[in-house]
Amino acid sequence: MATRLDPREARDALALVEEAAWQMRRAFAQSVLWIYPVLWGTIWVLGFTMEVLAPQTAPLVWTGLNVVGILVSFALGWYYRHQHLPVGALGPQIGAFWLAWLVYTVVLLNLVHPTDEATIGRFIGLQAMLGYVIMGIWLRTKAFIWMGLVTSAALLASAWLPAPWDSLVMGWLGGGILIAAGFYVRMAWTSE
Amino acid sequence: MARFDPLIHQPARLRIMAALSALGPEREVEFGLLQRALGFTPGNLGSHLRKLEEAGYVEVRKTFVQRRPRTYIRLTERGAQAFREHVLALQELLQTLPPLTSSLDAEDAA
Repeated sequence: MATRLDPREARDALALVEEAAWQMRRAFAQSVLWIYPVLWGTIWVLGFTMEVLAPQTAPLVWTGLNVVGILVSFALGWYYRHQHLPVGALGPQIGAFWLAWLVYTVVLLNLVHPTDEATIGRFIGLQAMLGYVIMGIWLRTKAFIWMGLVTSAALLASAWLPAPWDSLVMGWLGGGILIAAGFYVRMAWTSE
Repeated sequence: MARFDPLIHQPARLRIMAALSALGPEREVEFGLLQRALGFTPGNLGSHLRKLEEAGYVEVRKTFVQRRPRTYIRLTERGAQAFREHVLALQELLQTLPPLTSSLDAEDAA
């Protein structure tokens, strides 16, 4: 049987090649990305619980937890980079995205300048979740999109709750969703 | 001129070869991860892998991890070479405007 090919068919085939290569790199990226929502979900649970248990030390605890979270995130990125995972440019692109998002959130926080602790916490949380929604759309990962949307809804709903329920909802529901979504992605994208 | 490979050109097999090629040399991938990455059913992926394995383009390794069966796949050197040639053939084809006849036609003609 004769196989006739025209340039359009060749272009479609090359597009398939690009897409499949990207899907493979994304699969390997997903296999390590799960750790970040688990890390930050744990930080949320700890931080918001401390707001209820020891409100006077909460700002200090939050600062410490955020510094630890950012340092551990960078350390994990460095570690995975040296694992030589076949993620191509996707790994550095994801790292650059979150670094840019962190800078954007800090700049926006200084511009909006919310005054009370709960609003600051909610604002940072919403920005982080918006970042996950964008990343989910980018990587076509529904788990991250849903995680971002549901956690954002929980953060917004908590604004109408009296203390200490607002902190508990932000911490245990918001953080819990992050942890659950992280483990869901781990189950879906790791082979062992 | 680069060699067009009709076995690789089938869309599902082209995607499998592209995915394995993206891993780099000597790197293998677990069957389930490859299946999820490309959105294939296990049966569909298995049947295409068999054809690629018969052609010597992929190597399939079956083992047990914590008493559970695992299958790992990697591109062979021959497969990597065939895939490179095929992609090159497609790129060459793009640079020519009128429809071209693949190497299959040449075989038919011979």
